[in-house]
Amino acid sequence: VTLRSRAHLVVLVAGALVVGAAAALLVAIHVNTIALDETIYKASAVHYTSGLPGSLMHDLTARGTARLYSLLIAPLFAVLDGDLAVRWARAFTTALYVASAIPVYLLARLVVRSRWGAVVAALATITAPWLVLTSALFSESLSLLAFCWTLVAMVHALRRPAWWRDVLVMTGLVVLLCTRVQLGALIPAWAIVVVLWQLREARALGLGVWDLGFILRRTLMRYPLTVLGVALVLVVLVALLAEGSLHHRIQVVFGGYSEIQDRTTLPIEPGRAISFEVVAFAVGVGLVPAILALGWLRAALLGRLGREAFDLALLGTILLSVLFAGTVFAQNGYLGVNSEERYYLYVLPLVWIGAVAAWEDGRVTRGWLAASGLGLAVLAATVDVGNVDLNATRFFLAPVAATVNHLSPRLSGDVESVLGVGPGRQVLVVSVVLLAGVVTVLLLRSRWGWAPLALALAVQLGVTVYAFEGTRGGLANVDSRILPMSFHELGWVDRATPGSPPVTWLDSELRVPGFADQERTALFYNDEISSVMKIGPQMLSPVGSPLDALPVVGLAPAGPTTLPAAPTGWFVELRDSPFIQLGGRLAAVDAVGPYELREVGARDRVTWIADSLADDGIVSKQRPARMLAPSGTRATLLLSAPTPAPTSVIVRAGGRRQVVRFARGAGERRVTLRLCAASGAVPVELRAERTTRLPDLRDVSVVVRGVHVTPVRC
Amino acid sequence: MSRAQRARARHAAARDLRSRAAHAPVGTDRDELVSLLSAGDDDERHELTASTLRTHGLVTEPALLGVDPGTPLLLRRTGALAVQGAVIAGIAATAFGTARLWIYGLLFALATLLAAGLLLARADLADRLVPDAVPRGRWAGAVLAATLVAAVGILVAVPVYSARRGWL
Repeated sequence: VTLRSRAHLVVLVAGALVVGAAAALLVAIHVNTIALDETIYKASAVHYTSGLPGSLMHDLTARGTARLYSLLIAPLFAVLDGDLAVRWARAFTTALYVASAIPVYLLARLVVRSRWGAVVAALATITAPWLVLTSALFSESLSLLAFCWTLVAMVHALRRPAWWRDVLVMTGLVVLLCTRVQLGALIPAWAIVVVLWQLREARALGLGVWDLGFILRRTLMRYPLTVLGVALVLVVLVALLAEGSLHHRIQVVFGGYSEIQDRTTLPIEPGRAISFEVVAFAVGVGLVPAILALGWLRAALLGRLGREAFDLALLGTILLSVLFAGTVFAQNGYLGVNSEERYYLYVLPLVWIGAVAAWEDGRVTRGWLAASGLGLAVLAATVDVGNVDLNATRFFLAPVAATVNHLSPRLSGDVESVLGVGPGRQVLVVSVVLLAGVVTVLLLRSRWGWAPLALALAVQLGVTVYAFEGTRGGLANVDSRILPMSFHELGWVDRATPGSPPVTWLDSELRVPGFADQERTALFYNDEISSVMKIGPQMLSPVGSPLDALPVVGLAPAGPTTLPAAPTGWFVELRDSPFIQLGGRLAAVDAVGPYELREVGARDRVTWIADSLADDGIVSKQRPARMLAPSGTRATLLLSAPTPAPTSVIVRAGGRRQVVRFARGAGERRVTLRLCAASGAVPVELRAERTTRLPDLRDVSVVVRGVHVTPVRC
Repeated sequence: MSRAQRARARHAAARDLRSRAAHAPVGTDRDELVSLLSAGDDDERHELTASTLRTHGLVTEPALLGVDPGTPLLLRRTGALAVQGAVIAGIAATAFGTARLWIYGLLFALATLLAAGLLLARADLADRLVPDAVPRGRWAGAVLAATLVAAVGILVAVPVYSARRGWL
């Protein structure tokens, strides 16, 4: 074995490393805005850093069985500060994604004659536009890798059945289920594959219906874990159904996804949803590979390309059909402008393998390719693939659709400058599909046969770069996901707490629009926030996800004239919160959000607390505001009118009374109170005087937006 | 010969062997049975032969699997396999019935016992009740038990179910 004979493997590994390094170093580790799902995976990862395996079993954040990705990245969050862990986790996620090149290569070797062809298929798979998914902590990177390896295991288990190969397949399926609930659909799909394969072989052996016993025994010997697993699942399902607890059990295991079992309607436009994905993936790979792959699929399924091609084509068709049908049903059909491509990523390896196989195999005729191109053009005519919301998030959830949306007006303008008429987006896509079909058919079997595939690779890379530019903020009218703030600033809590002590989130926020995003950002980059403290049971509405998964610690509510004892430790609180403020050393201030970190000692005390205040800070006729501060406090209330209508409020504090009036359209006002009393605490009351009615029927006067407290000598 | 014809020929041969063993065990050897009753790869020919014999309610002495080539074998009928088939089908039906209502389970269990009793005590009568196309191994027992369970279901369980739902 010489290096020369292994040159293709060296190129494969080196290529994957280069792709991974480029994606991670140029984009992934610099993205500092967060997607909702990322916060969930990250919260689970932090949760698993202690108490395993209990924490793995009881994970309030996880969606159903999807825990493996978080478990894999958990060690990073155990040893690094939050912001650093996020960056390393993104790099690790990119490595997982590009590692798919190896199983794709192994799959390609089954049907692609040339080693270099298999290398092209593998590297093309990982450089497709969906590489941009690595810019977020999403589980697709792991699931694509696991899917490809499971496919390798399945192919070998079907070709040379053995119990240990079956164990490998079932291990892969369990890994997939524990990575993404969606991929649980592959378990019944695999059962269907095994049944079909066994029936096919039984037919070839000349076995009939009365030989069912032999067929079952044979299947059990070849696929023991699959047969026993399916039997066990069926028995459990029947038992739970008979017991009447199946619905509840599905709720427990699959969490939010279990709502699927309560559906009473069919998915909306499922055909359009599938058409959208087919066209998006065809455009994403540069059209020519999709046309080639469709031609190859047809020839393979007709048995023209040999046993290996037939097996891989049929296996892929069954698995992906079941998976995509389940996915379309789960997402309730066509999602319109919210369409995502990531759920269908698993078709990508087979597209490129089929494309390269068709490219080098003359048995895939031009006629079939022409039919494939025409079919794809018809599909493209049925759906507007660029019809998605145009924002930075869409550039990684649906990179091709977002690219088409952003690019098509410019391309249309270019066409108009030449032809004098600019085609619409859909006409443009259909025209390009037809053009790709013509180029493929004309050039494929000629001496320029390499050109269509090379052109497609160039187009694919172009779309990939475009999608990354959409993430980096390099495109007009698309917000960047890389904002001008440092990770060091984002990890302000972890960075300011030596020795990683537990930090408590003091639930002190006004429930105003955007507060949940601020919470998520602070929590995302700071792992040491490990519990939530709430004032009394009813003071504020519940915190949002994923903060709601943290254990809750109660703080005794204030009495009419008494302050509760201050808790000790590290606390993150809203700066100038009207609900609660703690004394203690100000350890750090959030440079990008409204929070601050305090280290509260045994001698520190509560410096402000609300006894009664609506969670949006509004003072209404129905609910006056009552708050308390220790004697010796200067409190500056920041008040604003809830609507442009004139209002007024009566402020009582320390035996004094004043009326604060807001003229029509008035902005904010500051009211400073000097709070001194003989006893320990001074009540402050705000009672509505002149009010205006809100749509929720509250008669409101002012909003308490914040309270700045400082000590004063009485 | 097509695949379906091959399958039919194999089972016809097994039926013929069963007829020959109606009154007394038939002497044969492994290779003869394998050539008559098997198909496919060498590895699986013996398993398929043994399976085909069992399907038709036949056993060999000594057991086919594990004997050397040319070893003389005695082929004889057995009713035990049919009883097994009846019990397997009956257990499934009883479990299903019990999960709905214990009385259904009890009824299905009684029907199963009746089928098994019939196979043990009046094999000739059971043989007449089961269609000729059904092999006389476990299938025959399963078909007989399923028929009796279905009859009990239609005659007793369905009226009980309907009465409980207020349909009657």
